[in-house]
Amino acid sequence: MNLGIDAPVQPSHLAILLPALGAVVTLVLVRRSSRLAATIAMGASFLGLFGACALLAQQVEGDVARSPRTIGDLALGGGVTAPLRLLVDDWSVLVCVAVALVAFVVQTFARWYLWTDPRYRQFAATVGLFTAAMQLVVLSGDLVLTLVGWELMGWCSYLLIGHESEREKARRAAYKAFLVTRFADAPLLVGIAALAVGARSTDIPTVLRFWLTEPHASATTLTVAVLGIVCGVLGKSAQIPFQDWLPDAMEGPTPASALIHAATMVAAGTVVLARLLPLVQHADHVRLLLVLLAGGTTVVAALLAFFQQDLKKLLAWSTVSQVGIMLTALGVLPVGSGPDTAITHLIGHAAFKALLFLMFGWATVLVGGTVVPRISGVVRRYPELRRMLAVGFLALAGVPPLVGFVSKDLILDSAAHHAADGDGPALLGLVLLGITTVLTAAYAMRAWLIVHHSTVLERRDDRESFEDSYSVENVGIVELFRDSPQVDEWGREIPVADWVASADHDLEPQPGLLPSTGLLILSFLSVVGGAVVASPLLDLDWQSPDWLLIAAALLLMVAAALLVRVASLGTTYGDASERLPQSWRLLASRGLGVDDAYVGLVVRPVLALARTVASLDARLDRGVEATPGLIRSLGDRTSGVHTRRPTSGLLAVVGGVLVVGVLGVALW
Amino acid sequence: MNVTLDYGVLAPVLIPALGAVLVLLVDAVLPRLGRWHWAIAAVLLIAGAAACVPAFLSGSDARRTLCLDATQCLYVADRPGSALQTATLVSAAVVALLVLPVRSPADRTPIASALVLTAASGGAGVAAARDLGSWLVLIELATIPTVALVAFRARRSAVDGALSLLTTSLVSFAVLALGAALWFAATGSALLDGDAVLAAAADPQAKRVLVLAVVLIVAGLGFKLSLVPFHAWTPEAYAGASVPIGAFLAVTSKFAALAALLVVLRGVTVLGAPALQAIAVVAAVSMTLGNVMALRESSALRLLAWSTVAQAGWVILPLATVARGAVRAATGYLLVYGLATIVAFAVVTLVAHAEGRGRVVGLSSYAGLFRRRPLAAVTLAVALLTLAGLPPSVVGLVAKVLALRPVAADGLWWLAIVAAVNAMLGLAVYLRWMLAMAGTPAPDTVDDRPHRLHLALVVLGLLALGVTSVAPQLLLGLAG
Repeated sequence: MNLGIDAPVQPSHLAILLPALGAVVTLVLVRRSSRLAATIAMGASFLGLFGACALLAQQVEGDVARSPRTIGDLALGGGVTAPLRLLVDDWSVLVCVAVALVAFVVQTFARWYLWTDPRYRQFAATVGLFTAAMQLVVLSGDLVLTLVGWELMGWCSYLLIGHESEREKARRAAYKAFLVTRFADAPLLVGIAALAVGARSTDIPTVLRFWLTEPHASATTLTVAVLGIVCGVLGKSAQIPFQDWLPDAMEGPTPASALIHAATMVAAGTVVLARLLPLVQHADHVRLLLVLLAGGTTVVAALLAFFQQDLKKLLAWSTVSQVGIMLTALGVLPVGSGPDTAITHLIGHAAFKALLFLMFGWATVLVGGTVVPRISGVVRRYPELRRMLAVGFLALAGVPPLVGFVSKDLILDSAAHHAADGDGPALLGLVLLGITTVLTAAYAMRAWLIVHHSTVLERRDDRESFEDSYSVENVGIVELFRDSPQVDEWGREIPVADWVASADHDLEPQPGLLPSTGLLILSFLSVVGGAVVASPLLDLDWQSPDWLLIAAALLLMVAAALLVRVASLGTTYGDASERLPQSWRLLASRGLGVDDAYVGLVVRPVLALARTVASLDARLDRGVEATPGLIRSLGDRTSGVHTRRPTSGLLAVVGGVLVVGVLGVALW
Repeated sequence: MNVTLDYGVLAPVLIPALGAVLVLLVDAVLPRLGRWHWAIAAVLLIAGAAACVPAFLSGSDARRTLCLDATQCLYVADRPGSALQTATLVSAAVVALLVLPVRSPADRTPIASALVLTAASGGAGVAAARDLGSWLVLIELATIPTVALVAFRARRSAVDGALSLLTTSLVSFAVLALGAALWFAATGSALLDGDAVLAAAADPQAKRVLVLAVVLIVAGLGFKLSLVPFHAWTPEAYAGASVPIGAFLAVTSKFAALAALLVVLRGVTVLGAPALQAIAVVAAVSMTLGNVMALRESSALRLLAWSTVAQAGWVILPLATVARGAVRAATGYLLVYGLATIVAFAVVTLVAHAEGRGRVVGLSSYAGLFRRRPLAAVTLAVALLTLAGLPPSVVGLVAKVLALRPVAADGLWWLAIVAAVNAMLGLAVYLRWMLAMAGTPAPDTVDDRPHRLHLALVVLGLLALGVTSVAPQLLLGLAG
């Protein structure tokens, strides 16, 4: 079957343009109706997904247009050409489908989640634009296009995180995300410019060919350029030292978090680095640095995740850790091999992380928050959450045969092989990833135990003391009655089991058909998504796994899980971290106080510099304002010389002749 | 000795010169012709300008005549020279047309128009003169008639202005003659260019004398260009003369003066840069003083005079360098200045003719001009913007950039900074006038219709400014 299309518009264009078009149409046409906005946004998103699927079909059949044109050459000048072509290959098609799918599910879920939000219209449009930007990065074959998508994403993330802009914390989080990523983007820009100027083109294949084969290409320049790009990637992917913006970004609505964490933004770093992977492999020092920072991030973030008191933040730190795994996977690959392990993890992570975030969004709607005291025992009260949450956590922990296990095992496998060949960074990566695997199992287990906790009595006691601390008018009186234990006519408490059963679940908010289906698809993919490694689109050696490695990892994971289970016994909320000192948990909640470091190291000096410049400017301003007076007094003085009589004019002429004569003769 | 003679090349000088005689003859035959003498003068001047046209069509070759041998010619009209000739004649024609509707005693008209023709002929001739004798005579021919033209208004202020102009011009002529004598002493030749200058430059003794000669010539011409400190006559003469004659002083005279200066400097640039420091200093002082004085001036005519002083500094700014294109930049700048200034004077003439001279002297009496006479006000505003070098009058900006480029290319940064500061001051000068034109008209406004000829000239000026702003090369390209 020939699926090739001989037209200027290819499915790759559709996958990028349709979500953006939906966003523009929503903003331009829709004034007030959320229903219409939702229809347009979801329709555009679905069509984008359709385009991505068409692209996948074409790719499988081998009929795809490899490098479709976009808007034609960009006149950059200086001998640098910018053909602005897309680049479609095996893994980018897979990522494209994953992005489109997650975006579609997020759109449908957002319609349910933000039903009453007056600014749903803007939200839906931003999500569409965000998706388009990510698709542009994924399918870009030109550094300029990559940069456009990259910056557009930064801007959209600012809008999404700051969606509830009436809240101070949301505004700060949005600013922080924007500033931190922009800060990291500066070296990225330098790196991209260096690569493009050296290769005299912004076309990625040309750039790669030049820097890898040209004998007199400067190795130092390449190292510096790749260093800059890695810096930008670390910023966007929230790796050390830029990691702190991502947990704060939880201030955005949950669908936005799902989008940012699962398929876009943080994953964009992996995509760009995967695209430029040969250059990273060529610059050995940078590769070591990448493994060190990304690998270190995975461990630190996993540890921090374990201590979080807000499960949404736990998910955020888990994202940091998981993205670190992808970047480490890129760093431990031997020269010449493709980025397929990292991409597999990206796709699997997109599925289960989107699922987890959306499920937490659902849980938030049900219990009103994600802090441990609120969310503890949520699946006991609302059993419909149980199955999908379980799938999400199992995939996150990397339990076989779920997708998380498959991709993580492949990464460990490749690291072990490369380390066996005596590669330093690979060995380092292997160690760090091994630690992370265990830690991941631990925090996933902890989160599951919390949501699965059953000691209702203890929980109720605690809630009473919790709610007593509020002043009376702050107590939600209806909620108080609803959540109070049921009593019979003699005032005796009805047993707990009956109470749970008698709660009227039909009245609880529940996602509609479309979002539920989307969640089902995501959980299905989280379970069987590992099968993607068998597809012809990925070049992976999955048939000869290292059983010893798998067994060791699983054994350690089980041990960690058991340890967590034991630790959780007898705690109020089933929270294993309660056994650890309070100060550690506080420190972890504040992200190790990195925010203060940002403020101290960057914000304060910049503000001080700005103040200095402003004061200099003010002084200059005063100077400028004084000039009219100066000019006037000068004018008054010279007008005194002009007596309007011929004699003074003649005197001036004679004096002038003398002065000019002396000047001329003396200076010649 | 065999001297070639080509009347076609000489026509730009000969037509106005013979025209002056013709006007006087016509007056003898038809004594009651009155203001139509001005029309005859204008036609003759346009005819003279038309005779320059072949210079712009024949490529880059200079037009020569009165040649003694293959290399030595006494009359050489090269591209900038031809441009200045044309500008001199056209501006004189515009002045003649501006004067035409003005009532004046009938017996003075032929004399005044003959004087304008004579001065224009001198100005056109000096641009092409290549020997000391005719150069000196022609420059006086371009100067002395203006004294009489200023004095013709016969008011106390006009006589004062004419006196100031006369005395300064006499002293300046003495300085010029001294410079010419020293030139002859240094080079042993009466020719202004050629091998004699090179030979003199090679000999240290002769070179010193030659430098003094050049400096004295610059000083002598500084009077005519209104450069500080030879400028004192300018505000007096502008304020005293009738408005169109002010335009003649401000535009036609300046074209002649720059043409005379270029003739000398073109031969001297082979010597090197340092002596031109004197020009740099004069340019810097001129623009600064002109702008500072213009800023505190309350009379429009005197403001125009100070503006001339400041702009004269801009004109000779590129000449302070030996960079290529300096002559072209100076000529181009002067052309733009001349166009904008004559348009401004045309508007002032229009208003003065319709409302009386009292309505145009004080800046405050321009209040409400935008509402009263929108066309005149817009034209004046565009002309002022051109002088200030502020878009939408792109041509003014281009001219300023053009004038600064040789300075920057030569690395004379102090001069470039002074010029930049003065560009800012100049902005204040012209915007001040524009601000005065806003607001509501005074209640006692005389609202006569302007003369049709004035109106036509103003419209033509606005069109010229508009066209050159869209395509500055039309005007700047004339200089080569």
